[in-house]
Amino acid sequence: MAKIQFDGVGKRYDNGAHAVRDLNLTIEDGEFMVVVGPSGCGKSTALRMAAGLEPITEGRLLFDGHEVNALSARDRDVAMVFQNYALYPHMTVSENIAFPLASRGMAKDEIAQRVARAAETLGLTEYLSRRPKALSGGQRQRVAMGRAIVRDPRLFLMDEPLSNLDAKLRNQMRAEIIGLQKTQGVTTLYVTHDQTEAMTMGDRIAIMRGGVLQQAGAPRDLYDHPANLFVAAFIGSPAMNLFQADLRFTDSGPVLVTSGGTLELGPGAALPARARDHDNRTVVVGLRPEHLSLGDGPGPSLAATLTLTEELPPEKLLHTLITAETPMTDQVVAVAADVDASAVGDLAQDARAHRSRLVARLPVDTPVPASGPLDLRFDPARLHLFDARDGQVIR
Amino acid sequence: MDNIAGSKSSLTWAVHISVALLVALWLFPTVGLFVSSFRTADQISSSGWWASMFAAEQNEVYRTADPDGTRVADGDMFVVSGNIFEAGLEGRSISRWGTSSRDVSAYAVGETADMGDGETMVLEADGSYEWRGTDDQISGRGQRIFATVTAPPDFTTENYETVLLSGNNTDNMAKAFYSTLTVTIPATIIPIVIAAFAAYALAWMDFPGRALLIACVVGLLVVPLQLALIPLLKLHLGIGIGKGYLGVWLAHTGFGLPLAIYLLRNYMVGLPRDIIENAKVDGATDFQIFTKIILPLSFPALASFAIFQFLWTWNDLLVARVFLIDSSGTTTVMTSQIVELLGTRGGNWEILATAAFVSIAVPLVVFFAMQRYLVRGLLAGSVK
Repeated sequence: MAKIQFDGVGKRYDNGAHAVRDLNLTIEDGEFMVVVGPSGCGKSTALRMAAGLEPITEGRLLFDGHEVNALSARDRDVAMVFQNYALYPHMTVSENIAFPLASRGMAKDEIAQRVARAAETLGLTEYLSRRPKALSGGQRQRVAMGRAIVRDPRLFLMDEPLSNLDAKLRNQMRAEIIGLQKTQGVTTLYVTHDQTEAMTMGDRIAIMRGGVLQQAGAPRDLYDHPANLFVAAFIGSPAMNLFQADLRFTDSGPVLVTSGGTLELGPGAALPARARDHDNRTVVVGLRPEHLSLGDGPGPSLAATLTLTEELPPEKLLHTLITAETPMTDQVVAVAADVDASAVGDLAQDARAHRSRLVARLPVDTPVPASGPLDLRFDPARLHLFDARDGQVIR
Repeated sequence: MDNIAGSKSSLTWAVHISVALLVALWLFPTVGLFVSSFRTADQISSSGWWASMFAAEQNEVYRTADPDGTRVADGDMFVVSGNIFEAGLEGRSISRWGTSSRDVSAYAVGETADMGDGETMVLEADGSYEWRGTDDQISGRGQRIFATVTAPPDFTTENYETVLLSGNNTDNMAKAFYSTLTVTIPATIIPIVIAAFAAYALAWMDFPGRALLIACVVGLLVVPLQLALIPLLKLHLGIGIGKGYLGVWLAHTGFGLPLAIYLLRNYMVGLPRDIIENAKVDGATDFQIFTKIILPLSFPALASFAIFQFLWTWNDLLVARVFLIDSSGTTTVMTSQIVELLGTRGGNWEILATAAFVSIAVPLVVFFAMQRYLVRGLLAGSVK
């Protein structure tokens, strides 16, 4: 168990590609840190550098304050769970779990004891003499976990360990991994692609994009206070609604001018302190789906056209369109591209049509017309404002 | 869709027919050698090996027992009776017979042959006869009987006794057999051991010049070994290895290594990277990764190369001639012995067939023992 510090860590390949830049991240002793980001964001490279499988080309990596840059993988005393489990196919389950101990020259009876304990923790006792190919996906996953917990490593590294499991099993294993990490208390660095996994599992989350750390913090913190458009668009499902508007401070308070009309935020609207600096500038407005409501309540209203209703008790999702420019900053496009290339196409189409998609999350029993115009209201205090040029949040 | 299905099935037929043809092509000579090695020289010269499986009809000459001492008086006549088939020839049956070489199938079985002046002969199908005549007629040597005989298949292990156990120096293969084994086993094991280490290093260890080394190995694949025979022999003689087992082991090792390294490296490089990285994180040294992970997983490749190397060192004549066989003749290998047999016993097909079969028996056993490793998927279940 150790405190892990990435101190300006970078990875530059011989061909000049910069996979990770100036990564500064501290993982406290016993903390569950999830690194999340779209593919190619450098999260796996960071993990592999922590494991010692990838040489660190810039900066320092510290375990408990001691630099480990030059230590080889076998001397770092870390345990890793690979995406495809990487079980040794020619060994039985018990030999697989015993391998890390045997290769460190532990005594036989001590190994047997530890393997038995790890197998019991993971419910693998009756499969100990089987080969990996005779196991189900979930069981293989457990064997890989067993191989990690059988010795008390300083650091657990997990590289998308759940991505090969089906959805149901994934939920179950997610809970098991959290439980295991809490009881073992081992510092954990967990890499995933899936923001749901990140939100539910991590004590803290680090979001990366293009080799650069975007924001690190507790899941709620990231959700409520995204540092930039990328984090805002990446975290949350359904994603945060984003549209462009001009911010103006008038006598009757701040207003947002979209191509479809003017939104009066009211004289008492609690905008971020730095919003004044963006008077008469284009900003990107962010609104979480759950912060939109229907009807006559207080707050400004958006004229929206309902296109589709999805019911998923206890809530329903209203997919609507409003007349406002879709922000096409590279951060937003990057998040869309991570979903699918077609999502980028949809975004571009919206931008050409001068409209934005807006999703509202409402209780399932809210009466809603089948289609047509809707009045969506929001609380100005829940607004997120981002600088349209660099995508940074306006605080 | 019909066309696609049709072309697929005709392709399948083509494959099946080619396989059947290839099997036949290989099987006929092998079975022929095998059968011939159990036949006598006479059988080989009188009929083909395929006929030996069935009862064959042939004309043979027999002679009754000599009358003196065996004849029995019957009134004023004397009778000699017995069976023309001695012990070991049971199971034969006679269809026609005769008493004169001018007409060897004059009589049917059970018919009485009149040999003039009251002398008669009766021969039954099972070979029992009764020869009857006067005192004068039943005397001297036994009567010749020409018989058309249907003989059951008849095989002998005599050839193997000649070739393996007894026999004189030129015929005896036992010693050559052991010489070949002495050459082949180390010449198979040494290159595999060296190549496995080299292949692991070339596949999974990072060091400068690795790509160049791999290129060199691939380049060596196309160098014909004949090119190296004379310089290598000169070297062996120069540094005192001379002609002998050590020399031939080294030569086979050298000639086998490029292919061995190439084959094993390509196999090892295809092993899942995650498994090896996981072993590194698990604290295994390079040597432990090699012995505990790579070697077991590479078993199919090791086995297939072992089969190749074993077969061509076993069948090798050239390298053994150059590096091993000296004038003393104590290290003659089987291939060389068979070449000599062709000279000394060129007409004795039974000896040649037996010698040939002795020399292919071991490769056959090795192949059938190891072939299942060629197709076994050891990697199933490791990833995903």
